[in-house]
Amino acid sequence: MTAPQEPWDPGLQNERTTLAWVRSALSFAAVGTLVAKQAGGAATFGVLMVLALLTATLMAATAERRHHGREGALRSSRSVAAPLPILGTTVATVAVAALAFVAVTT
Amino acid sequence: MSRRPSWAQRLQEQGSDPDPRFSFANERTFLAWIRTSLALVAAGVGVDAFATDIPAWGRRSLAGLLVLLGGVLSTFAFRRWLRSEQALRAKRPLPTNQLAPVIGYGLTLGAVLAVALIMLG
Repeated sequence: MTAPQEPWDPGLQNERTTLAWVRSALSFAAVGTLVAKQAGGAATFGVLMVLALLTATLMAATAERRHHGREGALRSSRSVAAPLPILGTTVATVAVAALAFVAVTT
Repeated sequence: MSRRPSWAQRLQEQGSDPDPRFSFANERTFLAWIRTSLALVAAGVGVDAFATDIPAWGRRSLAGLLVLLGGVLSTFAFRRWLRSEQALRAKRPLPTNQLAPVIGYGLTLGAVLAVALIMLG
């Protein structure tokens, strides 16, 4: 069973999801720019900055395409779950945290 | 769609597709936890960069604690997303929230450490 019974507008939920991804991209960008000042010093900060900004860019650049993908999945009653972007985001966040940990404790 | 790794395939093969609203809400909740993790990392980096009044060892431990908390939280966020999606597909109740205690205790520890460092310094 995929379709809900009562009337609802799928467009709003997809839009909120896309906005959530954009906000997350902005969070990565914020971390990247925060460490930019210290990136001139230790190499770890530099790598951290690049990783955070790259993640932000990738996330934002693919947002539109993934929005359309979710739209298509809704129309054809396929699953809208996105395991790969979610795993990718987790890996990027762990990497950012690991780099930041090394950077702030050394 | 492109090829999917086996774990993602297994996820989609279990149970049945849930109401898309629930999958969307699950995804947005995951992203909210990720943003919380990143905020903790940013706080740690901020402490490292700007809290010059407290001794170096204190600064490093507090910064390290905040960053570590952020990293741990993000792995919990993924696990929560996966278990919730599995529960939605199997029409089981959603797993209990284990993330809130982690951040609750972790932030309390950080706050106590910060206050102690400021009082000592």
